Amino acid sequence: MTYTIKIRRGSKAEPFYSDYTLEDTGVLSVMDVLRRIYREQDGTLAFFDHEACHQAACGRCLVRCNGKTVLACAETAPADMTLEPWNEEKLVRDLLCD
Amino acid sequence: MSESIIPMTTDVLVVGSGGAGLRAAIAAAEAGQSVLVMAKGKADRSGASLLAGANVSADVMCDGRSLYEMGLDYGDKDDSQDKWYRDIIHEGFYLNDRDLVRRYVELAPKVVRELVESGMKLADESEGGRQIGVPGASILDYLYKRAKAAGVTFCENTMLLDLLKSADGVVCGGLFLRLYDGELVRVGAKAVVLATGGMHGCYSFNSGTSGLCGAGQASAIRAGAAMTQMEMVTFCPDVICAPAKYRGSIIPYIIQCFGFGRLLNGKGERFLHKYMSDRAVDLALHTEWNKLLLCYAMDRELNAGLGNADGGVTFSLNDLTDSEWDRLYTLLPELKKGMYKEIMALNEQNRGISVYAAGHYFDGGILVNDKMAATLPGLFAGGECAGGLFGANRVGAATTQMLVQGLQAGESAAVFAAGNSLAEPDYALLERVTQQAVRPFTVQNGEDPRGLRKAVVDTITRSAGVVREYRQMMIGLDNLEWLNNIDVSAEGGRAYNRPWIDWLEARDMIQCGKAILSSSFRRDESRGVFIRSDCMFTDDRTLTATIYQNGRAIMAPVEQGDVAPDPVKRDYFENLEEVITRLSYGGEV
Repeated sequence: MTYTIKIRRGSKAEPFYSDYTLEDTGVLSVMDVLRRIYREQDGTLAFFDHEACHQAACGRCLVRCNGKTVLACAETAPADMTLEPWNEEKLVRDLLCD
Repeated sequence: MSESIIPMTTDVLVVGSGGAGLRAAIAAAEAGQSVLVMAKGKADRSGASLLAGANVSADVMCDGRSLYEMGLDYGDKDDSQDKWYRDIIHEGFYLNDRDLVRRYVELAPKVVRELVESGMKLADESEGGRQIGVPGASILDYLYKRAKAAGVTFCENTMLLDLLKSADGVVCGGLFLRLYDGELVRVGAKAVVLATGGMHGCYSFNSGTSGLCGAGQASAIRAGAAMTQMEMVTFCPDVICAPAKYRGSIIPYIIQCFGFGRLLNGKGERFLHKYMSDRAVDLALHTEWNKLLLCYAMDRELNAGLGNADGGVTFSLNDLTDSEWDRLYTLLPELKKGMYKEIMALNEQNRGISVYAAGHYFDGGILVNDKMAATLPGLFAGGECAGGLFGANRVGAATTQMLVQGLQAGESAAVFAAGNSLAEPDYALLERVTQQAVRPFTVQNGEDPRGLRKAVVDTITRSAGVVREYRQMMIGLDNLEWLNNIDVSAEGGRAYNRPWIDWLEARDMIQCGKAILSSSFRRDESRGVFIRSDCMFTDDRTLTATIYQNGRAIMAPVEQGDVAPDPVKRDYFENLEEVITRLSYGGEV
């Protein structure tokens, strides 16, 4: 399956979008997709992953996926997705909110 | 100072905000000291405590008699602290530090009573009469609330870089990285408690949270503290390896501990009996000794090329009867909710769940005495980052360990802080560790930190897995030495610079991996969770623990007291079955 991903990047004042595609045969979460993009394509991408449970328990990896606020680790990745920060006021950078 | 560093001070500095860190902070604050907790993630949601028992039902252990006296009728009133003490030592294959075990069984009723009296909801059933069941999150919620009430201060999203020492060698604080703005923070403290949890990140497949990369252990090693039994790593057998979305969840293991499910190889066949006797298979399926036995069998099955397409084995619930399904859902109602519901649906769709042995618990760690004092003055450690309590195999609860040792470490640190003034750090040391931490920003055309991290993790995973072998360990140690000398570059700003964080974590994991492998080399036998395919015997003629310090591992005798094995050398499995017969609960298998 080909995933097509558009991610809002940067700060609140100067946002921009980056586009990515990746291939995978398994069931991925949005978090899996973000980790693969970071590891394989773009080391500058920021999202919450430094102390994450990946099991819908810590509640720290919130993002907006196609307009809906979800836990990145608990949400099955759709083939086409636009990812945005879930909280403008708490935005640190890219998808990372404090 | 060449770098600008934000200064902070406190009486007691606690590094880590899981169960051990929070319990230590409470103890030190209630003893009248100012306490600062540095949490890598969110203050009440950091570390593996949250995932204990898959956050469904974590066992918190205590002797049955004490439970009974707390009004819990499932507590075994014929049990005693001494029986439990003896069982823990048999389970640990006689490498347990006896003083630590004694302290553990003595303090357990106090910390378990706190949980019971807090009013948190306990699971309905308790197996074996020596434990209560609660979700990991409930324990953290209780501890965090109590820590806040005691006046504990928290800094979140901060990562330990190194410990600081005075010119006299007293640990007097730590250097941290504030992840979100990239600022360095120096915390001066009269006493320091390390409660940083396990080293899960060292293994490509593990059951911990992503931040558990051995920062406490590695900082202690770099500061010159002694470590013990670092070769002892417990793997959890039924951890989901595919589909990727559920990777790392131990929920199949929890289901299996309740007596449900079968393990099948890539051909759909059962395989445990190929590697062990009927008696051992029985133990593997019906006791908490399942971890080491099942992991061993899985490792051998994959080694023989008989894994499934996902590189694991299949955990199947297909043979459950309707009434067994009802019973399973009654025992674990959480399986009908959220992510667990999705996982159960996989089984119902007849797809099965792929599982494999994941890095799960680290029996070894910082060498401490029964006051939780490390070998450096001013330094204390508790919970999973401290070693020696469980010897060569943990059957007892890590949740009780975090609470008991957190409490003890906090009390001891408070006493030390009350008797000592705040020492100035050795500024040459501070400058050195600062420069080391920011080095990737000064290196031109260095390697990509992401690649280095992957190489480190792959090396440790391959050479220090479930079953080890001399040549693999030697290659692994050589690789780590080589990786340790590779220069990396970090580009861009310092605020949440993920490649920089990757390198800082990889640097810690190299230290931990070297300690694990150097200690493994010294143990030329198999014992408990430590299995060497080139030494499939246990040698009880000499009982020694590894001590790793300043890059070298040595063997030190373990004082046996009145719970000791026969001084013989015999086959690993034969020995294991013999040990089982000595347990007070041995007949219940």
